[in-house]
Amino acid sequence: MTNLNFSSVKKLEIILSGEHQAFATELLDKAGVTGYTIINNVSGKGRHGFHDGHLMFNEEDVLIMIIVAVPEDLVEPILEGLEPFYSEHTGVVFISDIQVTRMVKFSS
Amino acid sequence: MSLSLGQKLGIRSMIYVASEKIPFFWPMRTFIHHNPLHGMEDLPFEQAVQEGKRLLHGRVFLQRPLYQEYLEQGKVDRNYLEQQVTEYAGKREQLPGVDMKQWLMALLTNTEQKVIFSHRVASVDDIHAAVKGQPLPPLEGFSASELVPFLRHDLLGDRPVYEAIDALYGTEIGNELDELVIKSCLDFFDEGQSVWSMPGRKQGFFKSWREVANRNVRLYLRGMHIQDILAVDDSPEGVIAHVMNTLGIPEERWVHYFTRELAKLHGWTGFIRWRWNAKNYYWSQQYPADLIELVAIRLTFALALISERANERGYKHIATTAVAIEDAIENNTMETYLRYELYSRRIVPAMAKRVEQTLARNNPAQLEKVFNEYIQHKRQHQAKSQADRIAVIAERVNQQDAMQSLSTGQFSDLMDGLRMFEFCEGMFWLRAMESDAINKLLDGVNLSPPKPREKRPFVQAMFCIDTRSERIRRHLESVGDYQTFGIAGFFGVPMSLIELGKGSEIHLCPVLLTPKNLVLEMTVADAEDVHAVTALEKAMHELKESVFGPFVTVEAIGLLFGFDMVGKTLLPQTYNHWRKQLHKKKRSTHLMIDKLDRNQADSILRTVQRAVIMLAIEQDYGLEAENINDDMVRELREAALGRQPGAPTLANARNLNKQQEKEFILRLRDHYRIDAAYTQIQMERLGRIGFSQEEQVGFVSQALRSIGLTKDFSRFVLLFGHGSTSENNPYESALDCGACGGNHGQVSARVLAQMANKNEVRRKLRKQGIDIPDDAWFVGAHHNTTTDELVLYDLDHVPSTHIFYIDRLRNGLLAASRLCAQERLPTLQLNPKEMDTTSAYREIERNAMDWSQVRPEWGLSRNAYMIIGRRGLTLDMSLDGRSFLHSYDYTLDPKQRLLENILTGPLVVAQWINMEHYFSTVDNEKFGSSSKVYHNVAGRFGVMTGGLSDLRTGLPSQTVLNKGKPFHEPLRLIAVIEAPLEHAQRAVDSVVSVKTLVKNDWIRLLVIDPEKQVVYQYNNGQWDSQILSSSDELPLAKESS
Repeated sequence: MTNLNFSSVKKLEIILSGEHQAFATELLDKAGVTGYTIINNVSGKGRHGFHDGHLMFNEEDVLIMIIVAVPEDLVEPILEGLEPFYSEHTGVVFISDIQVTRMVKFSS
Repeated sequence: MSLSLGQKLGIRSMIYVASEKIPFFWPMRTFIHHNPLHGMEDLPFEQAVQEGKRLLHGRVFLQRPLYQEYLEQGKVDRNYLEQQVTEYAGKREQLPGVDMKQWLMALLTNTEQKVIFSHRVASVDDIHAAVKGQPLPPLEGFSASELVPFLRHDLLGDRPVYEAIDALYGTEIGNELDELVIKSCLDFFDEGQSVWSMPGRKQGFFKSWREVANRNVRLYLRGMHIQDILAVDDSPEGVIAHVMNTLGIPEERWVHYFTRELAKLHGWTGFIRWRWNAKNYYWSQQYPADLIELVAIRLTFALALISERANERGYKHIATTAVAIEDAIENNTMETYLRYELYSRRIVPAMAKRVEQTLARNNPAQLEKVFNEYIQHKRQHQAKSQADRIAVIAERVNQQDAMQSLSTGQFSDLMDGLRMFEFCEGMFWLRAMESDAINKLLDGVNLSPPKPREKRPFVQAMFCIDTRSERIRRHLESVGDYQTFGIAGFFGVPMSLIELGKGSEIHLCPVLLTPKNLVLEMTVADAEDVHAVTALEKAMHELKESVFGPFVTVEAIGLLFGFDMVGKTLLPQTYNHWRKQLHKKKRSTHLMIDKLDRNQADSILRTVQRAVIMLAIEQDYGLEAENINDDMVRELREAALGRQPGAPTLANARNLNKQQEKEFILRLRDHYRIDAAYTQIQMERLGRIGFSQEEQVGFVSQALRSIGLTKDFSRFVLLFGHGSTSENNPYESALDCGACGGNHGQVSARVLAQMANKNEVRRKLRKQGIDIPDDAWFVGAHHNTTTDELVLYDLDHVPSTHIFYIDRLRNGLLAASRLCAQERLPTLQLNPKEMDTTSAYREIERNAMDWSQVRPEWGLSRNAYMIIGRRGLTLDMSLDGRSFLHSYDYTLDPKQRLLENILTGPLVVAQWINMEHYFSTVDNEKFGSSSKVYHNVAGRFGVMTGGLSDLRTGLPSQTVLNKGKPFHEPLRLIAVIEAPLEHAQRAVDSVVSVKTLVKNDWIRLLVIDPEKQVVYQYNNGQWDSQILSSSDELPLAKESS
């Protein structure tokens, strides 16, 4: 078995309403992120109440979560970029430390 | 100065947020009714309209005289109006001798003009004196500094700098800026309308604009040094930051500033906003553009124009930044005030010339003198006008003496009372109109339980919830035993469609959804070709043989299989000829709705690839079709897919060496996309075609249960999609089915009918408790809302047992159409006269074909209600084509899931339509698109008024106004749910968007509980209840005296 090299990166979990998906992914693209994962139909509770995830006829009302792994130097710019958005909209961003094995996939 | 990544992203984010208040603009090919204030639905209606007024400078209520007319016509609940006035007056302090309620009623019903206007200079004392006929008190201690807050408010804040400059110096930068921006937009976004297209568009909006702007000699010679601004930074974000900083706008105000800038040309903003969001839009992919680029371009032009003006003779001293303007307000208040008065045209006419001369002279002593004189004049003028207006009311209610005896403090109270009232007046009128509409509805509903039937209806027919269905349904029910239902026009089946002869997909579903399944429309050449897959295979095979007419266009193949073959070079000439013929005679078509299995998909793909290879050989080597044999093609295919090393047959035929042979194979892979990886993607794309059996069962089940039709099926179950016909009408799509994304609904109808007729589907439905008898047949159909024609499709599939009844059915449909035309004609005709049904029907048809007709039909104008419940509720009343009707049976929906779906889809669409009509009616110039007569198509996706204007949004005057007066009656959608209260409440609570709409008063919600016979109305955060008298109740017998 080949040697596994662990590299430390930061993980951002960005939770926001589905209607803003295009905005968020474009921001990440412009930041130079190499890829991201989107989890759909997320339910949750915030200060405005509970959001249910199942709607059939209206895709815009559900919440989504975007998971992206980035080198540390991208964290602040992305957060700085999202700040004006979150001043007006519900959602959160979680930042955590994770490790990946194929660093080449995460740096541009 | 270069921005950090974080700063750039922050600016992008700011502009995104800033743009949310400005509504999307869909290209008019698929006109979508939407609420122009959609971005403000998180605010209560009352607040949102004020914000909309502020941002888009439009009226949000009708002008008082129009409401007064409605009052006379009995369209306003007078009692409710008085009640609101009494309530309002009751909250205020009583003034001696003044009956506030009378004053206000006189104001509302007898006075045309607004009574209180804003006056900065005349004080309450002044006005009070004028009212009493006394001279104004001497002006003591009025210093210019009192005007500072007002000037700051009007000239700073989020007001764009150039606007403030225009207001102070009459420079008219704003208009020129708009023109330059519009021109740039027209150049870039053109979708094939103009002959010359802008170079370099593929690089994106900003980059291509830069190139052109940097080289624009005319602008340079004028002194607009755009290059200097653009030299600061490469990126649009950098340019934005540079201009904003140069203009001196503090960062915390940027978002609001951006909103104001974007709102200036809100049509174009809305379009770019939509386009950026529509990732699959061809033009967006080819020539990308976003709002950040628009703002950068706009700000660049703005700064360049400001600098240019400042260099012109006579303008060298002007303030050019927010800081400079602030300075002028604080330190040169008198001059600034006079300038503002002069150039914003509020100047007292008598002094206009003197003020102008004084400003030109720059003599401080004279300035002060003229300023004081001006103030005096203005005071007089304002005090007198205001006093006069108040006196008129006093006279009307005969309380002049009381008014004159008031102290100044009390008089001030009176004025405040009037001012606040006029501010809220719009809402009072609106609520009173809605109250009347609600009363009329409740008067006519029938709560008695449905009578049991002896036998099933002759026909059951489903129509779209569209308001135009209400008329035809009523008439259909009157000509025989027809039972009708209302359902969203796409029948709950979201799909993408490639129409016969077309090269693009259209989405047949509400814009809120993205369809996952693709349906193909194919011709049926002969009776044996019923199996659509065979037809498709045949089509692929005969791709080049346009003599027989390929069934599918090359563009469609390009779309389906991802071949970039919009190349006309590949097509023989006769193909184009065929294409043109296609529109003239549309043969009967077949819809492919089943999934392909693996073998079929393989087979199709193989056929297509072979066809492409043949074309490639012909193109590259000039070999005639006769000289290309099967072996050659097969070898090349295998080689391209990497399954064999070379293609000897071709090599021999054309004497190619190894190198050339290899090159051709590579070309097949790269250019013609015949390779293994791409094949995988193509297989996935083919997988989009059709619906799986589970999906089909699911859709049919959902549709039937949502309207409450699960048993006692008739011999015929008709599904009516709808669409309109008109000529020379860019707004054509607005008259089509909104639920189908602005398209015609008959394809959705045919698809659902096809699914419901399948034995396998019915077998599975039986297991779910929906038992469709063998003699029930579903038929897809079409309702033409312009002519009221009702057309049945796919009659060749109807079982022989039913043929016998078709005549009777057809006669019934025709009778209903004629009656409906007769009812509608008076509203459309210029010279109404009584017509029999046949003539009326003919006349309406003629109207639809008239290309000079600016009003082919009234569309959804006058919409007012949405009723979600059994047809029995409204069966006996005429709703005059004003109601959306969705059938619903709460007893079949214990978990409210079906109701939730109706709320989240159809109700939201109805609200959009309602609000679009509301705002286009109350201010057709600002929210609507004014007269169609002056419209010019722009870029092929929108219209402008005249030669150069903002993209016009909203509905044209011909749709909502009749001879200048509103035809549509603007009120908020009155939504009625027939169900027990808790049932309805639970459903509303689960759908966040609808819950917000209700809570914020965007719709008026009523719940009719048929069990308790009570109607609940949601008003101001609570539910008011009212017992409804049952229609079975006998009137009290009169006692004979």
